[in-house]
Amino acid sequence: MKKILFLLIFPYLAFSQIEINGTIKDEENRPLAFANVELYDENGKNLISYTICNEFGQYKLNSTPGIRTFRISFIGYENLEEKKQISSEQTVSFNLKSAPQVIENVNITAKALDLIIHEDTTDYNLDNLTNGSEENLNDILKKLPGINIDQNGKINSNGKKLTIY
Amino acid sequence: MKKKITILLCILVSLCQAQTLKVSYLEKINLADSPKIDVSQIQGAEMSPGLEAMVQKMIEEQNKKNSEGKEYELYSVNGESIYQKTEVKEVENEAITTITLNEKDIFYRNFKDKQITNQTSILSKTFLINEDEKSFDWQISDQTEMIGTYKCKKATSLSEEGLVAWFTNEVPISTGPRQYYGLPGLIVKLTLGTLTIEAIDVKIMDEIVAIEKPTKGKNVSRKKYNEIRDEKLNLNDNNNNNEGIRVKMIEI
Repeated sequence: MKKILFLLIFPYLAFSQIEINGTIKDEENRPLAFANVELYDENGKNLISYTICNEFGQYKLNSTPGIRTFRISFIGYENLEEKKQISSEQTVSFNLKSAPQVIENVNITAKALDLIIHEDTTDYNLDNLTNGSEENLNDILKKLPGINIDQNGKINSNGKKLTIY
Repeated sequence: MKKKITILLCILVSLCQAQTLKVSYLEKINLADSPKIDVSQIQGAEMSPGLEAMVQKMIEEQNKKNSEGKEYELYSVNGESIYQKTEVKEVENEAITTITLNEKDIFYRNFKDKQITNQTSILSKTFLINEDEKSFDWQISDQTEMIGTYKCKKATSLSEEGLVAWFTNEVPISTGPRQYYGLPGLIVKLTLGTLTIEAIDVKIMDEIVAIEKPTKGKNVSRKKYNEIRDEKLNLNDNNNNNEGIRVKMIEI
């Protein structure tokens, strides 16, 4: 009799959303404002839900029951991944360890601007604009955006005459 | 004594970041979809072939600039972020002033107040738009892609048609270019119609950059601003400059 009752209740639990809340803090228990909280499934691959902490380091998430992987991250701190069994509404809080000071600088696509325009001079990035086949200054000038060489060989830029130093 | 110290520690406010995230983005507009303007159709003073050629060239240059990309910077620290164009001075042509749209777009976001402030200008009039944050209803794909050295996931907005973003949780700040944010990590690439915004440099600075909320411009609602913008982009009969050229630009 007891067994049957349990079986009847179990399927209902499997589909309900459970609210999880908590606070993310550092090692000194100071709250980390706007820390990242991600909830993955048991193998840590599929993202189920995510949220950002508020200014007090508090968060609230929904999850279906089961084993879940929490991934907490924050700039300047070590990422934390932890598996927890979620079966009912609960509070799950974490403490992050500060990461060693690393100043990252990642160039995804280092693309220099072709030209930088100042008041009355324009700097051209010749590396980007030429391909080595240019024989003389004329050839290079023809390739620069905004420069025209008219029939008399006079050079002008956007309608204004240019003087070459 | 111990009890008192423990209570004191608990009252301490949330820990502030001591590092600032700085991202350089490149905004590009797909050249194939840029407005095609036929110079001979432009209303206004009659133009000599020479002048016509010059105007055509200027428009081509503007299109070329759009496709080459404009550089913007994003700074984010302590629950605030600001996105603005990297400063480059334009040379004004003596005969005609190049009409540039939305060159001074600044987006400021306050994570705590959940507010976005957008300072923007059209034809030298500046506007200030304050809006509540909105949800983009991101649907995140499980597949990962590499963008630069970052492992990214693709997210599609269910509320804004055509909006697709790629983000990385390796940079755990829920921010991105313009008014786009809300993913569990930095938005590294974003496409919306013909517009593509891509991060070209990501830096974590070991200092706190002071972020200033923009305050210049006439305070208007987003709705009112859209009305004003549509009005200004059409043929403006009030243009007092007889030497000027009136152009109808189609918003991309």
